Amino acid sequence: MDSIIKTKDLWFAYEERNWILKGISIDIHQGEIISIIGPNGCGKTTLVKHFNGLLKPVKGKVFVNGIDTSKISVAELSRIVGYVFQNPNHQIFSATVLEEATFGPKNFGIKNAEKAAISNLKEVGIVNKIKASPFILSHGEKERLSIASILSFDPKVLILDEPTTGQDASTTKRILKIVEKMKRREKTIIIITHDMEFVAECSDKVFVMNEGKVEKVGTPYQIFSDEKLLRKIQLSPPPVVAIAKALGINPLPLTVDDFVKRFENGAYRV
Amino acid sequence: MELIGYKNKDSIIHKLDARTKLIFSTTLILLAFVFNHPLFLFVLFLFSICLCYIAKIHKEVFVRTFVLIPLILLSFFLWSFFYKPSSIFSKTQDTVVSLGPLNATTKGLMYGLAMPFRIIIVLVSSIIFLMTTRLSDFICALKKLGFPYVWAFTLGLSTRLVSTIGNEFTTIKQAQASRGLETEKGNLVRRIKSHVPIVVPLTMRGLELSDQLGMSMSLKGFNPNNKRTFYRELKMKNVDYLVVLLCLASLAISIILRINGIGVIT
Repeated sequence: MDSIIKTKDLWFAYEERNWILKGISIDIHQGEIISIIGPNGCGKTTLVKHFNGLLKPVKGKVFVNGIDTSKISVAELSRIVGYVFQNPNHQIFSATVLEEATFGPKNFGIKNAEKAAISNLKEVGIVNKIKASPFILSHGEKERLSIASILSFDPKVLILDEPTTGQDASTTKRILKIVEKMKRREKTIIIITHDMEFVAECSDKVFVMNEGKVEKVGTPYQIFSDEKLLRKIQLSPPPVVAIAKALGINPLPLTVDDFVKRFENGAYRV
Repeated sequence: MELIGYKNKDSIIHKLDARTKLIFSTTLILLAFVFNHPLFLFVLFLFSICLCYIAKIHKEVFVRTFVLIPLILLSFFLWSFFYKPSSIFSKTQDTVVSLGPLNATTKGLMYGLAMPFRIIIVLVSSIIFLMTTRLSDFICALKKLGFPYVWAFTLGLSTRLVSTIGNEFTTIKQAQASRGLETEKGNLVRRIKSHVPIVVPLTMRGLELSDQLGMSMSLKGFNPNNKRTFYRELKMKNVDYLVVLLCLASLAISIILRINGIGVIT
């Protein structure tokens, strides 16, 4: 697999000497689903803002698609790396949902902007509200609209910043479905989240961050079975993993489906 | 984002009572308006620069005054050449400098030298006050000096909101830039138009924030007319009384000097 985003000893500070990111070197491949987890204020959002050039490294380098981000504009990078911000209210301004979703594609000069927008609104399940004002949508619908407005210009990489925070179960499931669909289309997806079930469900690789550094990189299985790490950053794995641990099931199941399978046909006995 | 916010340093000025500092900076500004002779203003200017060093905020102050150099030059130019309207375009006996069709008199040049100092003194003394005083102490000082609490509270609230709105602005700008919005491209009309996607969400967020603020204030039973106490009580020390006394004395002396025509351009 080709590397799509690469950072080399990335250091960043908003104020002099107050380092937020302390020498981060990571490699993200095309088609991977990455979760970035870690305590509040550990630099997760600051890190991903480097991927579409909103922030430029103070020391070190960031490469997107092989291009050094310090040599290319945010607009050019955003075409490759779509970034869905945490709060949809930070971007909604149009009179209708359709206009909102076509804003990005029109800025990037994409033909058939409307067609792309409609198909993505269909995908996130708000195509029936196409003529409504985006301001009257519910919070979950606004979140999905902001995802559709990024998907409409078809970026290679999609960044989701805490997409499931404050969402009900059905919206979370919907977002999970979108992520799976994007995976089938060979897109790279980077998710910042505190939702460990979400991490266990969908990610290929997890970056655990702590105090401006990447503490560990691994599969969800590797992360959730590392007791020392979980204790260090005070992370609780999904309930199903905790139960399995308590029951002494080995290897650990990560999802409920996985857990149930172990017990089917009496294959496993406690 | 913090432009003139509190800088936590260890200095004599930081340790003064907020009321003392308020009186002190006000005195410095008043002195700058009592005199208009460049020499007197120059001394005051040097004095305020010394204060910056004492407060250990000289670096911050210099960076911020540097931005004002065009304004200072403009002020020098306008006062020098346009001080006496009758002599702008015609040479008179007291013309000393000519710049093309423009002529400056000695008196004009004196004003040209003096007024930039006045601007800098006003600016620097306010910055010294703001950078060495915690906002909470400022509010407390206003209350203690007898200003209505609503004034002090509004001041605190608006100062707080400026930085909040500033942060919101940055986030919104980044969110729209991620959707390909370019605000620094094209002619003036296009640039103004390209700010619509930023201004609309910002307005909405502003309304949202003030709505939440109002609700949380109601929930905590806020009433501006209640008698209030403060967590950090201000305390005047001997040094504070001394500084206030010196301020009042220097103000009185300078007014007497001014009445006798000293420190004034003649």
